Amino acid sequence: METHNATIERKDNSATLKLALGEILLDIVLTEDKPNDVKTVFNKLLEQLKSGEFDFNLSDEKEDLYFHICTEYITQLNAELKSTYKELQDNGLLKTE
Amino acid sequence: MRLPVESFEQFCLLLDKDDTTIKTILDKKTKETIQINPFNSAAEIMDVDIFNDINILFGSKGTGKTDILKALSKYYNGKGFKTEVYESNSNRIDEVFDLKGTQLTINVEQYGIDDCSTELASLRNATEKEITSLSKYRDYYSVDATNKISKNIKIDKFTTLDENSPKRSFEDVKNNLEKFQEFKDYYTADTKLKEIIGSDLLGELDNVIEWILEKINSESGKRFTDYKSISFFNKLVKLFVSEISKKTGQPEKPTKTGFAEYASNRISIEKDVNKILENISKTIEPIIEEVGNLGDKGKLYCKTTLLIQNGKISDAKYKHTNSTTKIPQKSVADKIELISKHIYANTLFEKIDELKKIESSESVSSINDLLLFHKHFTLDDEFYTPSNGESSMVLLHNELMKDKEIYLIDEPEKSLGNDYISDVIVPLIKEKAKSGKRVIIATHDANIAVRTLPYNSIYREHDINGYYTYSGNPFSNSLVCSSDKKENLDWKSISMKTLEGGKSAFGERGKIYGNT
Repeated sequence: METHNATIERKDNSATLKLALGEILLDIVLTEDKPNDVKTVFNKLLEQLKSGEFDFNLSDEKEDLYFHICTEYITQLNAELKSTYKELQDNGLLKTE
Repeated sequence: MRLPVESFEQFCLLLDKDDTTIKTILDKKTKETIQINPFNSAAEIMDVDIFNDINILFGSKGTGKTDILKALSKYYNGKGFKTEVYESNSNRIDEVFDLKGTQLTINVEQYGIDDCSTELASLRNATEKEITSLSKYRDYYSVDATNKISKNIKIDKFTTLDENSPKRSFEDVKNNLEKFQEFKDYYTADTKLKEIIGSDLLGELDNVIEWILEKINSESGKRFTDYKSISFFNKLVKLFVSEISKKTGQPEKPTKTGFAEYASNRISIEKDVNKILENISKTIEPIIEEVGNLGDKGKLYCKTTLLIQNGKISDAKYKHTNSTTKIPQKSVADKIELISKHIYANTLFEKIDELKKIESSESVSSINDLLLFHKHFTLDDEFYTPSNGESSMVLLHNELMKDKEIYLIDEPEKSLGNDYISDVIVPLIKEKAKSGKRVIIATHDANIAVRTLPYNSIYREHDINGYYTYSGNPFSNSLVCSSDKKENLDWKSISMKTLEGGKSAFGERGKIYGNT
């Protein structure tokens, strides 16, 4: 299983959780509710999951609100990625080399 | 010899057309006197003798021969036979072989194709799963927990566990259990099977199955416990989160991002769409029925080609099997294909909505509704339209080849060449008669009416005073009127007049043939 990097990008009035899946960079804006953007990220994660199991490791050193949000979010997302990978596997939907 | 002559003396008497001898010989053949009312008139109720042999109905056009055949059919059907009047009509071949497919009932499942009715319904009912909004995380972490008790509670800090995987795992083993239980119920209830394989062997099988059931049951119990433990744990976490929020006024802590449910929904749609498309892409072997032999040309077949509309078939000769009204098969199939390309796009549900909005799309509820057929005749595997003569030839031949007790045939000569009648039909009719079948034929053809030497000739005549029915045979050379109003007729001269165009025409043909 591969572990990819997750970081937090902070700007003046905004913050974004950045998920790096190799070449693919996925952004989840933390300071705004944009469900469609999050769904786009989920779609990409699901497509990538078909090629192999992975999770994320949050690299961040500033213990602020965004750090707590992202720590929880990544923990939950990792658990859900794991169960979804199993579901893809059980349904024969994993990509075969 | 058409008549079973027993001695030379009898043969000589037969040559002299001795009435008693002829009657003696004919009486050896089974016959039945039938009362019919073909014209629904009390004045025209008639008694006809029907021999288990060839019975010919002849007379000019419009003398009611077809009505007599139909009345006979009604009589026999009333007796419990299954008869119908075979009416020679060249156009009927398309109807007989149902080229329009009005009687065509095909279920794709008989060809190993899943009808996907469940998947199509699920696809139509699919809705988007909502995800957890980021504001819920912000709200939760923005407020400091001040309540001492809630600070000490740890359970709300746990991440919920994957519930779907143990649920699937339990359902798998539950299915196994059901299948084995069904198998056990099957062999336990089947007494004939017990007779065939014997109680010892069946007992051994039962022991093994019981053993398997025990193992599956035990595994099922374990998996059920796993699944329910996780389920209760998750419920507990959610309950604490919810209750702490209610008591402290703090926002609820989100327990999941929503990714798993979101993904699970898409996985389920993908599975359904894949299954539908996989079954749509399957091919069905054409149905080929032998129609008949066209002599030197070869065998004529009726071929039903079946295709499943995949969104790309536009050939107008393919019709749908399940409906006479227009149904949007092509658009529906096309849209399902399109949905398959949007499974991992935000536009997926737009495409599913487009499918639902196709006019009458609900009429496609299974793959059976996507089935198309083209039924046609083939010769040497090429499309072929049989001529009128060929159609009549094949249909009549098929009718006579059916194993029946009673053959009721109206004008078999229609559209047929004399050579075919002489070479094929007359021998076949004689063969039926020889095996004791009742063959009743209304005809204008001399080959059939005369050359088959019928045991019974029924002649219908019409004059200014009405209709008359005579019966007789070529052996006695007489035709006796059923009423007393008319004199007996000479079978030979009436046959010559009615079937050959009269004595002079017959003689003229003889001269012409004789001169060549």
